[in-house]
Amino acid sequence: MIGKGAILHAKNDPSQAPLPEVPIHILDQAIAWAVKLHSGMAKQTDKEACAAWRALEPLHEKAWQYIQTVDQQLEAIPGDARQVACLTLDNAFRNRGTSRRQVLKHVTLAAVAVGTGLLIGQTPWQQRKTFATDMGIRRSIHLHDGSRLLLNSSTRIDVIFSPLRRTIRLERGEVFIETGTDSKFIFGRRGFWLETGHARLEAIGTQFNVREEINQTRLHVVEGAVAVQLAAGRLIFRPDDTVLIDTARNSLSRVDRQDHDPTAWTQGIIVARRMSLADFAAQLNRYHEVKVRIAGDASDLCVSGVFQLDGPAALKRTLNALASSLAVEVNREGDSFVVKRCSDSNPSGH
Amino acid sequence: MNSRLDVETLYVAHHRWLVNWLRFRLGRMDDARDLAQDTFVRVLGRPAEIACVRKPRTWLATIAHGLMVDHFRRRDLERAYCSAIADLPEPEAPSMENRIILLDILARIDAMLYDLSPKARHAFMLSRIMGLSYPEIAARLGVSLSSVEKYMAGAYRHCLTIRHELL
Repeated sequence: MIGKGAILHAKNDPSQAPLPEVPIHILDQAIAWAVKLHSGMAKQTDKEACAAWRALEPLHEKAWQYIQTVDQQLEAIPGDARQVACLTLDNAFRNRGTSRRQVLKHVTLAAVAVGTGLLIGQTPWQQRKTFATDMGIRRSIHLHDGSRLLLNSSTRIDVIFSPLRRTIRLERGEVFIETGTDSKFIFGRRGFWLETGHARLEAIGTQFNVREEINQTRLHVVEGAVAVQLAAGRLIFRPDDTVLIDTARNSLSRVDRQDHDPTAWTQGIIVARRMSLADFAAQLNRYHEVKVRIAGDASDLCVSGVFQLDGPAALKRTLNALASSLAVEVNREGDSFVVKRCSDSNPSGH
Repeated sequence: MNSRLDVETLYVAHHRWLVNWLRFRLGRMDDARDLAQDTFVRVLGRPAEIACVRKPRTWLATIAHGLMVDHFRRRDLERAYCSAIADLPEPEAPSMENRIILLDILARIDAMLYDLSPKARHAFMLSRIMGLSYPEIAARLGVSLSSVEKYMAGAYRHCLTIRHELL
């Protein structure tokens, strides 16, 4: 005779699982209760009704205890290992296929494969990667969820993809993001988050630009919508909205007048619209090693126009354009350019 | 074959055969010896069954095969674990002793969820491991709320059946 207990993976028919002493219809009721209570939408009255059902008959309680043995297996996973647990189980299932027949085949094949060290393919959906650019460099990145990122000069981001969410952490600099549909991900489309030192943003199928500044994060929405997470809740922003965020101080302000095009940098240009010379210089200084300083009373002069960021003489040409359109003179002092008002000029200027 | 057997006679008569049988399938002598040993440990726990075994080699092979399946599953799981933590930053990867504990836990869950349909398994894992609500799971899997409930009930039924079988 063949020992029955030895067949650990014998065929079983779930519809007639004869658990000791508990009839299948009672087991089904217990399952229905468990399914209801774990929905995340169960009310106190549901819990009380379940407790009442359990108390009704000893067999009900027994069936309930069987369910608990299943839950206990899953609850044994330590809280901080849940993600690793999911990834591991899912990797294991994917790597060996799902049918028992395949595993039996696998056992046979493994006899051949032992010693050759079968390699397991990297799953495409667990990733943590850092991308960075040096000053003056832009970089385009395509992620496997279909997202497209463009990093501006002196930028550093971490891309962290987990089974539950996609997160981009903007450490410094500026990034333009077009979120992907995540259509290949096994657990279905995940949320897309962007975190900075000052803000947490959730992208809702969208294109947006985020710049990390010293005291705040500057968000500009191009398409779709972006939700800003604040202690009090979340605010949703739509195309053409620009906001300055500092979550720590719980401050959020909308920029009504744009003094420059927030996404022009993606085309390698600065588009200034009555931008103060001081702010304009701050923008230039993000892209060039040689710095531009604005001397005293020249800083409130206004600049408008389109200025190239790329090319060896880009800065020189920009400064020449300033000198010819504003009443300023530009002088090289050490390793920087100093822009100051011409002594005999009147204080207007475009 | 003898109509009545005990472990000793079984061991003397079939141990070498079993090691060879396993080595042919596993390819490695040390694994074969280990699993043969485990097989006899299992046999020791069933003196009543030994007494009425008629085809001892078939019986031993069946037990050994079950252990072999477990052995490969465990190895699959260890590899899956390694690739799961490969991309985690150092502080987030569990310590060595926690790894062993975690792998033991996962081996039991793995055996329990084994053979469940992928959608039901994902729904069940997202609910019972990641703690998501059914509406969140429905959105993630792109299915209706009632499908999620159906997957959950199916998963519970499946797990209960498997657990009972393993008891």
